[in-house]
Amino acid sequence: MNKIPDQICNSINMGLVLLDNEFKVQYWNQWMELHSGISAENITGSVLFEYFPNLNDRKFLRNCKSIFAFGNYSFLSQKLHHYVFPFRPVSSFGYQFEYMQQSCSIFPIRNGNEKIKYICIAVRDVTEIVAYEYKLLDATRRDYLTGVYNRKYLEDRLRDEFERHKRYGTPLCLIIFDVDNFKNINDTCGHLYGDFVLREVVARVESGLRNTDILARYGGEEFCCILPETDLKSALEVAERFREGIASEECKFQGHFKKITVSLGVARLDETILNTDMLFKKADDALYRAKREGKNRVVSAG
Amino acid sequence: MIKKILIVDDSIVARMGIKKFISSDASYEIREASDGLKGFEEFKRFSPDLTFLDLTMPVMSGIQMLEEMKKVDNDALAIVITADTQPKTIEKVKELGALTLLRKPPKKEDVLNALSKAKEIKESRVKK
Amino acid sequence: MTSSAGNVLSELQIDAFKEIINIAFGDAAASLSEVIELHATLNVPEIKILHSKELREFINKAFGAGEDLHIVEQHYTSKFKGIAYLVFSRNSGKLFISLLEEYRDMPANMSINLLEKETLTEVGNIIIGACISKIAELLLDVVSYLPPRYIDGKYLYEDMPGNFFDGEGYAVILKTIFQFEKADITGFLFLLINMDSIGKIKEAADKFIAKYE
Repeated sequence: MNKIPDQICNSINMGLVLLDNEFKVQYWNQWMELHSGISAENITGSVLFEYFPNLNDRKFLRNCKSIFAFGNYSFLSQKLHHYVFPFRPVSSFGYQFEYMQQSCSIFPIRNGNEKIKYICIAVRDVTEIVAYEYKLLDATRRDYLTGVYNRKYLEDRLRDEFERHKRYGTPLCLIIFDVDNFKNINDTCGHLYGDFVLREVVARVESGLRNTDILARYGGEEFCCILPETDLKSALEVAERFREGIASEECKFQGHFKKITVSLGVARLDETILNTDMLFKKADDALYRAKREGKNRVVSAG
Repeated sequence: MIKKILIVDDSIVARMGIKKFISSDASYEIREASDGLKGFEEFKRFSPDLTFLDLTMPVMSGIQMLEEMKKVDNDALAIVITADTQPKTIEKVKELGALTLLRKPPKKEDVLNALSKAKEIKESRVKK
Repeated sequence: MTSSAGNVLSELQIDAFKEIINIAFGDAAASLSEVIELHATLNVPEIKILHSKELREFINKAFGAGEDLHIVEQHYTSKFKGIAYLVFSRNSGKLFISLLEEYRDMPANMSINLLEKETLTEVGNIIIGACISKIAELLLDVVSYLPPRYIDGKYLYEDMPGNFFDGEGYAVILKTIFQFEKADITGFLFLLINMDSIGKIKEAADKFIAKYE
């Protein structure tokens, strides 16, 4: 059993699986044994889906059928699929993945007379690369001072959510708020205090955010929050929580001691809104009214 | 009796092939056309006993040509030889009354078998 | 059907090559419907053979200036080698994906653009593979492939390899119309064939012709 191809297949740092046209496993290399906890002995001859029912799905089957029919190569990217075999990540690489991230290619294996006998799945662990990519990507999406998302990401994300709303009709709301009298605060207490105020505003607001909400710093003292799958009533409640959380306590920093408030405008995406700019304007107009009507309040655009 | 055969296909090589196969069986009077419209005109002029036709042709497709042929002579015998073997196509061709559909590249025996069948049908009609 | 390859291949050889592609594609279309599980009729394509110098004009005419395009590129090697490009207009691309029902199982935080790109690349890979492999089969040949690449139509001219438009190769262009019950989607498949492969194509064409002479 020390043939060279065997040694290569068992030493290489990737998973190798051979399937016949009934999707029965005909080869399972050591890497697969190691990461699945399933021995080659046990799985050889069994239908793959008995051990991995998640693979009995349209996308995977379509790729495999194609190879048996055409002999092309298939590439299951991590971006679209995340993983093919649900294995535990080897390490976290500073990011929480439930499963090892994998990039797979599948190609035909022919017997002598060019007929396709098997398909071979080659599995690569790309968790580390993906974790690094996510971290980099995240850094480009963040506002350095406050750690919330930045304007670019907000606009991209708003466009995406808008598309999603168009396709599925799920509700969407937008909150725009800014710190009242911020210029004055900077002038009287200095920029360091101004920076602190911004970070403090974010801290007080973040606890009220749900996982799906997107909070971004839109301008100098302006923030914007996208609330997907949220109706107007709930959005107004969230906005009021923001307002209250910020106004409830003074901001103390380096001897400065001020009551900070924000004004908020809330808008709902409805059929009259044709693009993201219009949604923005709607919320912004509401914010403007909040300022005019006395500040430290929530105004709904309706 | 099948004496006159019309072959319609935009591919020279494809027409060559059919000619070669049927000529090995007997000597026929053969005319050719390179698109559906020319094929239909030749059909009217030549009145072939049997027509071989492709489906994907410029100007007028094989399906259209078959329809027109049947309008002129509902009993016209036609054998379709095509690369398009999707079920919907096969259905449509049957619906239009073609004798049979052969998949490209056609094998000699398939062409000759289809030719025999055409001869049988022609004979049985004459007897009536 | 025009061809500018006349000075390299004889008329009969060109005819034979087109017939080979015609047959391959018909076969591919039939099998493809099963594989991607879409009830579709794929029209056996219009085939043109152009010199790479004529490509720019052809593409401009076919797609109109500045039209948004989705392109999937894949390199392949066999007796004849080259690069395949599957091209959809942006709208066709969106339509195609919705018919594939990819939106249905879309993960919540995936951007729609990414889903479109990745799905088109994956399914494009299958379509390209179907066509090329059937051609290779008829030529009694086996093909190997590199991973496919998505190209944004905006970068059509910059992203193509240097010799695509102005080099010495030939391009075989297959215009495909995918017809679904709900919609017609037009896509183009460009097969760029390396000049060095022309000799092999001649051989294959001659073999094909020999069967019928």
